Amino acid sequence: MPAVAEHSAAELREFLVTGQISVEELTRDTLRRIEERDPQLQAYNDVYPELALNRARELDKAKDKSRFPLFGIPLALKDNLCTTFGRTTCSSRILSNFQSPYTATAVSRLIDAGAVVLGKTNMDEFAMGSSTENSRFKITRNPWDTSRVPGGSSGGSAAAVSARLCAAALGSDTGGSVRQPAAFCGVVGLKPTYGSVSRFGLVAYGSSLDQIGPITQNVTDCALLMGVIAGHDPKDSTSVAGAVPDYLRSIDTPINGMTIGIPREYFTDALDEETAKRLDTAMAVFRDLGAAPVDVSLPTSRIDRDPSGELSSFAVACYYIIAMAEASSNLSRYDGVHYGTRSGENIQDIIELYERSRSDGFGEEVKRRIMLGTYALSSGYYDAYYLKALKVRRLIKADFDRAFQRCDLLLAPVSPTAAFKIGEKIEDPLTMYLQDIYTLSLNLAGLPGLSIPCGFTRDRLPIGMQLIGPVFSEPALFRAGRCYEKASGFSRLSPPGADAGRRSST
Amino acid sequence: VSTRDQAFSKGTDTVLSVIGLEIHVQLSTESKLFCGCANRFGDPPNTLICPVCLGLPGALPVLNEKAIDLSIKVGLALNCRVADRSIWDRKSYYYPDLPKNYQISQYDHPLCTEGYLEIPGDTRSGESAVKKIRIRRAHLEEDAGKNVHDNPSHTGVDLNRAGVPLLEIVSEPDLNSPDEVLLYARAVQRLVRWLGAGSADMEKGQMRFEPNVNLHITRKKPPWPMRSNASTTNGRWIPALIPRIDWGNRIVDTTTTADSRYFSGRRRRLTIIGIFRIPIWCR
Repeated sequence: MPAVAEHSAAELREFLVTGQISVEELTRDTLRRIEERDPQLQAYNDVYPELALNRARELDKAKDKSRFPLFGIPLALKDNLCTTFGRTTCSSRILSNFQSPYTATAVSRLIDAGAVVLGKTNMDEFAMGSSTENSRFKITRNPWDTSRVPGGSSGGSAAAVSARLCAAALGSDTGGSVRQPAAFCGVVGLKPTYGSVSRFGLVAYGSSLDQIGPITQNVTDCALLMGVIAGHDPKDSTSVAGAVPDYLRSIDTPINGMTIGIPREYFTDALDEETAKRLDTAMAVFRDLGAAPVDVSLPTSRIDRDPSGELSSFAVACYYIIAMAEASSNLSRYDGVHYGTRSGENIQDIIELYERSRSDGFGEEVKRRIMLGTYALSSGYYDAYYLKALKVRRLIKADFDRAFQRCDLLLAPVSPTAAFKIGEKIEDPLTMYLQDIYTLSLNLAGLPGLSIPCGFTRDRLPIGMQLIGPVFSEPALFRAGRCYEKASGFSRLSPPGADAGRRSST
Repeated sequence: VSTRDQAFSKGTDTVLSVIGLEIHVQLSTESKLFCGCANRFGDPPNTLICPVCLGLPGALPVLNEKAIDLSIKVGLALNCRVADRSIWDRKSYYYPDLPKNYQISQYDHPLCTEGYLEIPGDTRSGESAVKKIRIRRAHLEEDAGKNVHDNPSHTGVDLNRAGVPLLEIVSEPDLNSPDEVLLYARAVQRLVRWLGAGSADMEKGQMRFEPNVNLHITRKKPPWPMRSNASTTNGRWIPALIPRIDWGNRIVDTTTTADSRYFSGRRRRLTIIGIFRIPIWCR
């Protein structure tokens, strides 16, 4: 019987539509896997067995199954996507019992396309972090090495896809939160172009940066999910109008003649040696496929090492000022008054109610970002920080525009190293922030980035690489990613313990 | 200094009043500024609400174009320059009737700027027949809800009004007496009604005022006691506009300021000799 452990979402759909397996059977099988593996991995905050099975039985009765692009596909959702079923917690105490009265547009589209939602996955609180250790609920483990983090903030979704506790998942990416966990867990993740996926129902962190993106086993699945969730939504004014391209149509078109830029600022001693080596090999694969490398420069994204050996970059400074400023405003609504957790007894006045609820409700990192963001926006400092950061952001965007005059796509690392140990960086927020040095520039510039596996470290931890394109170049990213995946064989990587796993180029 | 400017004078002391007025006008759109909820007065509490105007997690604002149209209409009637490009800002403050704890408003790129409105001048004192009151700006913002204090044990919050489009018309400090404030306020009210932009009914809170009153006092002694001149006007407007200035005794600032505790009920008193800036909330 075909099972979630052995097949991609696109393959499973074929089996389901042709009736080789029923949706109920597949759902049961996947729920069984969750029951077995999740107590160790802790990828899910909540699983909805009853809801999923009811939905599965309903789908099994559907007539015209082939009209559903995701017919019967078991999916997981990051816990910052609003659903009328279950809780929407953002892995935060302040929303630990919050039930949304509406469902996010991206989620509705998946459900309308025939998907079965299994549950909500763990994340860094309010998507603030790079290891999922900032969750107020639990520590998610990397399926490749359970002493390591799955990355973050969409760590639960990436771990669930990697361990086949779902066929695919949704995450959100504000500075790398889809791409970095995808790389750490050996799966594929897309941060779409700003405006291509509706964010209605995505709990806001940095509104000018956030995008919802798919996390999948391979590039084809990523294109499949993207085709379902993309497109204009009248409820999100930042979602672009116009037809959604058929991402799957040209996905197998060869890439000969394509030019791939290598940003020289990304290949410095800041990058781990093993990762650098794997990216060299990847470029060789692209060359064999007929793509030509071009040397390009992204000066504003330059990564420096200061005298003490610490890494720094304009882009990182710019990003954190903007992200924290927006976060401080977006999170002001969580105050214990209208909904969410209200803390304290014998509260004297409204100020005390605010103070107690927010002090208890938010974790350390969230509080840190709210305070830094509030500072950056306060009068007297606004020009020096926030306004300056907006100017730097423009320069970063201009760098990319210039680079894309000389090439079709860019090849870049996803993170400086492969998955690190649980507890290794959590005490040092600044080191944690540097996880995003190769990913956050895209969010600042609004560009799409595809994170795909490109090999392993000596310790057999997955390494990811990033393909970056101009706005709305997702079709080209999928094409290049798919061609690479086929040629390299790094597709549908299975971590140890994901039974009946295989490493092949399906 | 005209005789009207000396309305506050007593004996040899001269007090020049310099008044600017912020007028909030609710626009009579069918739905609210950023969501599809009905814009209506008098419904049972919390019946005209949705995830957007409740500020629920993940909800996003979608602009009501009709509100922009009506604002531009009013702006043009006020002889304003209408911006080609306008920007929304978030004004942050924590208050239970403000569900997101920020108000979507316009700060440095308002919809309308640099207009004026003419009111009758005081010809008896030799002024020309019309007086131009300059309009600094007219910007659009969302209204807050209402805190309801009808129960001693708790405060209720009604969010029916949250998100209703509000046009804030800010004059320059060109008004020099309560008479002029009255003339100007009535002119704006008439204009808004004529244009069909709003009902501007004060009883329903559809038109609200925030005067900024400065008194320039030309003597060294503190200015009180002063005689109220509210009696010189007959309308009920003056008490509505300037309700908390105790003209007969001394001048107090009735605004609870940003750094004070909102619900403490304590009023801060400002007694600065020379120039007074007295913002007054007239909700």
